[in-house]
Formats: sequence, structure tokens, C-alpha cells
Amino acid sequence: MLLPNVIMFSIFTLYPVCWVLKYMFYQYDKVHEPIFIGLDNFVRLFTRDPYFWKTVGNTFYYVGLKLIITLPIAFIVAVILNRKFFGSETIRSIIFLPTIMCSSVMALIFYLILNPYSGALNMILQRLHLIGAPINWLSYQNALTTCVIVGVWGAIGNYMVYFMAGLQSVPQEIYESAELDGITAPQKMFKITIPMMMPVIKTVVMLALIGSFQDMQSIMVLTEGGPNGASDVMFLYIYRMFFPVSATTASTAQYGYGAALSVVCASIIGIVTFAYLQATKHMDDIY
Amino acid sequence: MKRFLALLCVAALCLSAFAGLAVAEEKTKVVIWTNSRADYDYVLPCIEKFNETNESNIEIVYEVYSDNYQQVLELGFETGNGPDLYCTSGPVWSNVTYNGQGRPLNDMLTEEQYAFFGGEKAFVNTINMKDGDILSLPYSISTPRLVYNKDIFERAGIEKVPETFEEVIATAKTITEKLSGEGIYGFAINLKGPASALGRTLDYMMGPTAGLINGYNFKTGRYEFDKVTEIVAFLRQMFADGSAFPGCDQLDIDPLRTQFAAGRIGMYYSYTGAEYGVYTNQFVTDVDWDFGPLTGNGTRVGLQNADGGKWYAMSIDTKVPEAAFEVLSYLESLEVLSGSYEQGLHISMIDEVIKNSEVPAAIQAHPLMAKQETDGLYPIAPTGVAIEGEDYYNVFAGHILGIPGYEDLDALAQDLNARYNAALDKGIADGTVKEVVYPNFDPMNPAGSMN
Amino acid sequence: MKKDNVTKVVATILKVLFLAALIVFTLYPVLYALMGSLKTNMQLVLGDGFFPKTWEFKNYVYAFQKLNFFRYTANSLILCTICTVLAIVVSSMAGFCMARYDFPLKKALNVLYLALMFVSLGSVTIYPVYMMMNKAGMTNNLLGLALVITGGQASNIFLVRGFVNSVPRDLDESAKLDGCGKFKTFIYIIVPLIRPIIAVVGLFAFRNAWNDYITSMIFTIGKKSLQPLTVAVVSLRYSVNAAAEWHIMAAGASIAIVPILIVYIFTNKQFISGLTAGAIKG
Repeated sequence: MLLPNVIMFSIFTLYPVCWVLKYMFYQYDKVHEPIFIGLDNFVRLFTRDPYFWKTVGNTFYYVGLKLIITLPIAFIVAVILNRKFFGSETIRSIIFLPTIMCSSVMALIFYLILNPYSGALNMILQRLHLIGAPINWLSYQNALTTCVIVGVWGAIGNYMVYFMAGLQSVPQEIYESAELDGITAPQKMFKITIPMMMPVIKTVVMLALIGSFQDMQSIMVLTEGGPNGASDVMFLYIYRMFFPVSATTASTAQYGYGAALSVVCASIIGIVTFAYLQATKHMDDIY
Repeated sequence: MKRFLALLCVAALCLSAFAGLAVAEEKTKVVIWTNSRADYDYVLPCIEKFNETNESNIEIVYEVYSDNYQQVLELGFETGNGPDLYCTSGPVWSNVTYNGQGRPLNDMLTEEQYAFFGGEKAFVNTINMKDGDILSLPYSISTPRLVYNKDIFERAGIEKVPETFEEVIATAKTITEKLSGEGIYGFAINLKGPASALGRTLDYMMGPTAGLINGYNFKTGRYEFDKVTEIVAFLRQMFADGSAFPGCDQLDIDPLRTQFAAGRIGMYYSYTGAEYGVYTNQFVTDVDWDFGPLTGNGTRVGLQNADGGKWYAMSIDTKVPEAAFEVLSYLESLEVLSGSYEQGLHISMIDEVIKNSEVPAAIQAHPLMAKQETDGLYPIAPTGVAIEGEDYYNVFAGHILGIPGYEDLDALAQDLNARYNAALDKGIADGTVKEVVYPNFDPMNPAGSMN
Repeated sequence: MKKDNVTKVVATILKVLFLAALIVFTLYPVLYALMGSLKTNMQLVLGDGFFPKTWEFKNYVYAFQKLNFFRYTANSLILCTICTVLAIVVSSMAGFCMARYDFPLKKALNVLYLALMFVSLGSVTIYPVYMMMNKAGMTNNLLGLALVITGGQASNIFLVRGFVNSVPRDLDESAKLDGCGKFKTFIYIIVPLIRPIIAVVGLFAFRNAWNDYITSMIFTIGKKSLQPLTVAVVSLRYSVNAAAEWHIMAAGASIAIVPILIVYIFTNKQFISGLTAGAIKG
């Protein structure tokens, strides 16, 4: 009974990992036989490829900003909706809605809304006289932040639900006894809710961290990493090593280099996760 | 458990039923892939007609792709799911067909056909042949020109169609100064895809101004990007002046065309072979537009490269070469070619077709659509050069858009030279790139240097 | 006391505003797509008003008749069905085994599952898998794609295992005494008790399959007749004529959105509770 899974796991998870670990030492395109080049892919990556490190920087900016925006909003919504009131379930369902939508299709819609030359957002802002000239939401300066906002759109619901689950596990008696002591609302928040929620918050942050590092579907459709790599993230860069996008570039697939890059990216994420776990270790002990 | 298995079976059944539907008839299928969209409405009825009337029981499956066409083709061939016939031009020719994916047609081409296409002078190495193997048949010729909106020119008081870099810059500035209040701008370029944008400007301008293709000098066998910086600086200037349409960095060519069709863009660059069909069939417009010459610096050292001499190539993997050739012969018959030419959907380079057709209304209205004395076919630069870092399209697009870190044009060009030449040398050394040097290469007669 | 009331009112107003802003932010793109799909192209391109001036249902007719959207919808439905069934069958059986039985290398397997759950190689994995599937002749039908999308299921196995662990062992002991084999125990004892988690696994598999873009795109390159909706819609951006036909793009997007929306309206409780369960157990 375990067999089907073991087979599928070996083929779809284990095999690619082995493939990557092998070809990271090769120069390999689709026309010629792979050539063993030792560690040169890594030398190139660390010494001759500033563009890759730019995408790493973009990735960190993307992940950081997305978390900073998403998690507080999700937390506040969760706190508000945790107390049942008329319509709270409907609101919860609405806010959760984007999580079930296809991010690539929605990125297409966002492109229609955001594009600078005739997008709906600029039209609305101009009509409300909030801005004079149209703003280029997808320009070099703005593109990455815009991608973050689109990412936030798709993510709030998810983390809201995690937080709500956490809130339900906080025993009601604590609040009741605190209320008897005449506690104020902010005190309730900072002295009880947040401390009690720390383990949950810790887990959610980790899930959000790992998840956000892998976002690329919507960026791929919205900006294709452009303009000039302004919104390029590391996984998108790797993707292009395997599937060179543009029809007019004389680009060549570089599988070996892509494999090396992906190993480095996986390590970066691994290190970040590990560092995060180390840094937050004490939380469980205290509460 | 059983229920799950049953469900699985049902699903599998659905699937096979679906697959079964598709292969019910026993016809010889010839699959064609193309990235040509302007002539879609013309070609489709031709194909339907062929499917209904041909006596060899052939059925053409015609599929249109676009921006990721080359990627689709490469993956298709790599996995054995590729087409039998495919449109080849530009990078697809050099990276796919010329790289081993084209089946020689010499054994199937009849004497008559050979003569029809123009005989010896029509078949040239690296343009449609490789080492004597005919890989594609002559068809059209296309090259970019300046596309401009006559109404806007008139309203801005511009009388002369600009020809040099300075003139285009000045014209764009005038238009923008006078009309930007109405949302009309002097110039636009589809920089969402730098390769697509610079592939229709820089790549063709560097022939007349520097005698290069893709930055490559056939005489020396080196990349010399430092010689093309004046073109990049020219494009940059229009952005610096604010004459460029807002959001050029988000424009693909088709959205750009819709904006042009809506009368909001004064000038842009695109192909003689495409725009007429686009504005008559795809984005029908009232705008009165015309072609102007491709901009240069005033002196000419080489011809303007044109994409042409080829159309469909046959896949080396095709299992039905005879049927595919019959389809190819039909699609490149006088009847089909002439009709498309007369409707202005392509600019024929086959004398027999031009002779036997009426002068298309399109060319009467836009004389610069036709091939000019200064247009010529260049050989292809080395293929398979795996450069490290950004390609020159992205680097130059960065400069044109004024992105921080891309300010120093000369330094950028030097860096590109270093990286491209290093990759070239490395490729030649390990056998993944074939060296290309023509010591007697003359950019004023590029095709003459090859056979 | 009065001051208290004022703060309360202010707090409530803030809350309401906050929620309202969030709802607008959330719903606007979805409604934009739905509304846009019923507008003329001109209205959409000019950004003229939120509601359609004329209701252009023919956009959908066009999408279905000319652009073959029936085929793509059918592909998506078939794909989702297979994925859902596969995910449920495979991960529930494996989770059950991992929870109840000892076998050689169990520890190693466990470690492997856990380790690879956190290794994110991104889209790289698609290439070797695609090449392998191609050699096996599995890239010309939706089953191959479904298998790839379903993949290793490591996290679902942990989810199911957690649930199975909460079922008292006495139950299968007594089943065994009654002469039930492994399979029978699983089907008659375990499955009914872990239904909630199976529903969750199924729902999420359905969602993932319906929304998958990159894997599907690569698998169906050059095979238009196999494309699921997501790929078809996004490729509309560059297909014949449609690059500038935003209304058709919006209609395509709506065709991709509406079915999952309907599923969601009926199952949003399961979705949310499922996610919660996953969060707690996983």
C-alpha cells in the first residue's frame, strides 16, 4: 500500500534532486553532450554572475516586504474575526477567497488593472484627482513592490486562517479572569493574546517564509522579471536557464548552470530557515 | 479501496475516450507550427481547401504560436513532439533549423520548382542552405522601417519624414511638446521584451552604420559592441527627452500597435512584412500611417539586413516527408503565394510571383514596403554562444530606460565585448560553437561573400 | 465611562473601515475580471466605468466557440479529477502504513520525506521529470501531467499519519481478530474515521491541480489540445488577435475562475477548517 507513494516519491521528488546534484558539475545545453567542468559553475556563480545576486537581493526584498505587510494584516483580521458577529463568517470567506484563485490567471488580471498606459487603477486615481499623470506601477522603481502587493493579495487569507486556528487555542478562561482584573483592550492584546500566540506566530512565519521564497508564478506572468531584472527573483532566473523565455534572443539553455544555481538557492533558503529556527528557539521555552 | 480503484478506472476511461476521439480518422497528418499571425485569416481557408480537396488523404494541422515560439519548437523537437513543417526565420532559423533540425529538401525539389524560386541566385548558404543542403524555400522579405502616423505629423507641423538619428529625436520632441496634453507622444518602443524591441531596431540599424550583425563582425570574427553605441544613445535620448510613450517598459508589440491604432503614438519601428496585415486585419484603424526609412547616422557602410529567403522548414524527424513536401509545395505554389502577396500579407522575393501578380494595393500605398536597393540578406552570426550574465538586449535596454547602474554606455559595451568574446572562444574551444569568419566580408554585398 | 464609550466607537469605526478596505482590495480584481468579461473591448481598454455599459455575453460565446474553451475546461476538469483521486488514494494509504506498520527502512524513508519537504529546488525539477516522462511516453496524455502535479505528497502523508495516529489502535486490533486483513482494516475501519482529512487532501489537490500553471505549461508545450484552462488563458495574451482583446482575456479568466468559485462557495468551511487542521497537525 505504501508502494504507489514510494514510486511516485522516488520519481517526482528524489530523482530530480539526484539529477540536479549530478548536472551541477556539467556544462550542458540541449544540442551538445554534457561536458564535465567540475566546480566551474559554482565559481561562475560566486565570482562572475552579479545578476544572480541581484535576483537574490530582490528575492529577499520580496519575501521580507511580503511578510511585513501580510502577517500583521492577517493577524489583525484574525483577531477581529475571532469574535463572532453578524457577517463575520462571510467576511472570512471573502478574505480567504484569493487563496483558491489561480495566481497566474489573476496576475493577468492585475496586469490589466495596473499597466501604465490604460490600466484601471490609474484611471480611477486620475478620476478621483489623487494623481495627475499616470503612475507606472510596473516601472523599474515600482515593479518589485507591485509584485509584492499582488503576492499579499493572494496570501492574507491563508495566514488569517492559521492565526484564527491559533487564537481558538488560547483558553478563554485567561481572558475572563483578566477582564475581572479590569484589563484594557490594548493590554489584553499585548499581555495575553500575542504572548499566548507566540508558538503559532513562530510557525506561521516559518511557513510564510518558505512559501514566499518560492513565489514566481504571478511574477512570471505580471512582469516576467522585468524591466531589466527589477522584479526578477532567483527561482525565475533559474527557470530561464532551463526554458529561455524570449523568442528573439539567441539564448541557449544552460541546464548545468541552472542546476548549480538551484542547489545554491535551496541552500540559501535552508540557511535562512535554520537561522530563523535558531533565533526563535527560546520562544517555546518561555511560553 | 475498490471504490477508489473504480473511480480511477473511470477517470482512465474518460481519458482514453478523449484521446480516442482525436485519432478516429486514418489520415496522414502533417503538423505545421507557425508564429505568423498577420496572414492567419488568409492561410486558414487555403488549408481548409487543401484538406478537403487533396487526393493524398492528407490533413494539415495548423497551429499558431507566438512570443515563446522558439522555446515551444525546441522543446517539441527535443521530446519528439515537434511539427513536420515549421516556420523558420530570425533566431529560429539560426538556433533551430541551421542547428540541425532542418531536413534537406534537395532530393524532393523538382527542377521546375527550383527554377520557379529563382534558381541558383535564390539559394544561398546560411540564408536558406547549409553546406549545399536546401533547408527552406524562398518566400518573403521583411525588414524594419520607421512607422509613423501621418495625421500626427501634420498636426505637429512636421513636413519631412525624419531619416537620421538627430531628425527622429527632434521630431519626437516636437510631437510630444505639442500634443502630449492629449496623451499623444512622439515615439514608442516595445521594451517589455528587450530582445523583441531591439531586435527590430538596433539589430537592423547596426548593418548600415557599422556593418555588423548581432554585434558580430564577420571579417574579424569578434563581437564589437562598442561600434553600436551611437544607436543605443539615440534611443536613450528620446527617453531622456521625455518623448517616449509612458510605460514603454511594459509594452509588448501588440499593445503598442493598439495604442498606435488609437492615434496615441507618433513613430515606432516595425517590419515591412507585418504592419500592413496587422492594421488591415487585426487592429483595424482609421489612422493614416506610412513607412519611413530605417533611421541611420547619415552615412552608410553596409546594407540593411532583411529577414527573408526562407519560410517553412521541414523537421529532420518528420515521419511523413513526402506528405509534408506535398503540403509545402502547395503552400509555396504560385496560387497561394500570389494571393497572399496581392493582399499585402507578405512581400514576395520570388520574381515569378511578383511578375504574375498585380502590384498589391499595400505597396502602392506604402512604397517602402517593397524591397529597396539598400536591403540585403546577411549571413548569420555564430550560434550556440552561451554567454554569462545579461545579454546585450537587456544591457542596452537598461541604458535606454535610464536604469541605475547602466549609465556608462562605453563601459557597458566593453563589458559586453569581453563577455561575448570569452563565451565565443570557449565555445569554439570545447566544440559547441562553430567558428564563423569571412575574411572578405563586404557589408555592402553581404550575401555575395558566402557561396 | 464616557471616554470608554468614545474609544469603543472609534475602535469599531476603525475596525469596520479596515475590514471594508480589505474586502474591496480582495474582491476588486475578481469582480474586475467578471465585469470585464462582459464589456466591450473598447470600454475595457479605455477603463470606462466599473459596470459594463452593454452586457456582452458574446465574449463567452466567442471564447467557447472560436477559442476551444470547452476543450480546455474539459482538460482542467479531467486533470483535477485524476489529481484528486490520486492524491487521496496514494497519500491516505501511505499515511496509514507509516502510522501503523513497521517495515525495514521506515526511519530512513521518514527522514527522506521530511528532508525533501524542506528542500525547494523550484521549477528545476520539472525539466528532468519531463524528460523522463517523455521517454516513458507519458507526456501525450493528461494522466502523465496529473502524476507529476500530484508528485511525492510528502506533506499530505504526514497529515494523514497524524490523523491515523489519533485513531485508537484497539480498533484495528479488534478488526484483526475479526479476520480483517490490512486492506480491509484500512477501508472499513480507518477510512471512515479519517474522512475529514481525506476531504482536505482531496480539496487541496483539486485546488492545486486547477490552479497549476508552470508545470502544466511546460507539459503541454506544443500540445494545445491538452492544455488546461490556466495555460490557455495566459497564452491568450499572445495568441492570434487576442493580445489586444482584453475582453476575451477577461472572459477566459472568468471561465477559469467561476468553477473554482462555485466549488468554494459550497465548500469554504471545509477549506478553512482543513487548512486549520493542517496547521495544527502539520
